[in-house]
Amino acid sequence: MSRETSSRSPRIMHIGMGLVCASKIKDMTKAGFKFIVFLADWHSWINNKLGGDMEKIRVCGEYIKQCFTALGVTPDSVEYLWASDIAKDIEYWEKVIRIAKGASLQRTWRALPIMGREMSMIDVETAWIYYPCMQSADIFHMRLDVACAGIDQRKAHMLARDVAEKLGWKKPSCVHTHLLMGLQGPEAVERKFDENADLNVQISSKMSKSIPKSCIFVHDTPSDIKTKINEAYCPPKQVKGNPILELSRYVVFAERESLEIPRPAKYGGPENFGSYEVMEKAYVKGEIHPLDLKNGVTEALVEILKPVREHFRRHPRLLEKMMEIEVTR
Amino acid sequence: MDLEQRIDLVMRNAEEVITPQEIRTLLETKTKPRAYWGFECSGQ
Repeated sequence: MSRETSSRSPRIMHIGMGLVCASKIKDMTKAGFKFIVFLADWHSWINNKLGGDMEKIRVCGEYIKQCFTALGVTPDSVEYLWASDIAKDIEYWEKVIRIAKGASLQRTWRALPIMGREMSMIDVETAWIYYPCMQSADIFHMRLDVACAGIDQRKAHMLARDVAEKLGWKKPSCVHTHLLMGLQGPEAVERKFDENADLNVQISSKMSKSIPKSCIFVHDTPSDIKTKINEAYCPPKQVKGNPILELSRYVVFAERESLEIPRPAKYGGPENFGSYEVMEKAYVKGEIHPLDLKNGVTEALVEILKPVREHFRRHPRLLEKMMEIEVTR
Repeated sequence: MDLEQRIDLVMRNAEEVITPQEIRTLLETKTKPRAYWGFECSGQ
C-alpha cells in the first residue's frame, strides 16, 4: 500500500457490520444452518450506493467478502451469492411481481429501508418500491427458512411473513440483531424511524460511518482503536446507554470465551471474566472502573481485528481499489 | 451438539427472534435448514 493511502485508515466497514454480523453468521453455521451471505448488488444500485455505479458496487461486494473471510466467515463454511445471480432467473421477477400484487402500496412504502430519512413522494425514486418486494422475493427464491438482519430491517421481514401467508408460501422465521451504539453514546431522537420508542433510540444512536469518531472500523490500527475507545462515552456503574459495555457484550463475548480486565493491583489486580453477565454485575457494583473496562475492551478488539489487518496486508489490491472509490465519492 | 445448544446459538445476543418456537420446530425437523443475511455493497 502506498504511503498516501496508508496515512489514514479506511472508513469502509465498521464493526457493527463486520463483527456483529460475522459472529451471528458463525453462530448459525455452528447450529447446523446452510448459510448464504447475499451480496445485494441490485439493491445497492436502487439505494444509489457508490453513486449507483454497478462496477464499484461489485468491487465493494468482493471487498465485503474478503473482510468476512478474514473474520472467519469463510467460503467453505457459507455460500456467497450475488443478487445479480438470482436476478438472471425470470422466476425471481415473477415472485417480485406476485409480492407487489399481494401487498398494498402503503404497506410496501412502510417497509422501505430508507425509513430514516425524511421522505416525500417527490424525492423518492419509483425504483424504491421494488426494494422491499425484492427483499421478500430473495427470501422465497433462495428457499430460506430463516432471514437474519439488523433490527432496523424488521419491517421488510414482516412484509415477507405477511405476503407468505397470503400467497401460501413458506413463512420465513427471523433473527434480528442489535445495532451497535456509536461511541458517543445514546443520541436524542430527532427523526422517527419506528413506532417503537426503544427501537427509535437504537436506530438514531447506531454506529454510523458518517460520524467517524463514533465508529470503529475493521481496518483501524491498534492506536486508532485505543484513542477512540479512550474518548468514548462510558458512564460508571451504568449499563443502559453504555457503548463500551455493549462492545464487550456484542463483540468481545460473541467472539471470545472470556475478557481480561487489566485492573491495577491496588484496585484488586487484573481479573478474567468468563461471561458478560458476571462482568456486567461487577461493573454495576463499581468493581470495574470505566478506564479498566476500556483498556480490556481495547486489547480484545485489537486482537479480534488482527486477522483483517493481516489479510489486507497480504492482499492489499481490493482495499486499495475500495479506497480509490471512497476518495472519489 | 444437542438441540438446546443449537437453539441457544441462534438466540444468543439476538434483539428479536420471530418466533423462538418456529426456530425450535425447524431445528427439530430439518437437518440442514437454510438461512441468509443480505448486505448492501456500500460498507455501511
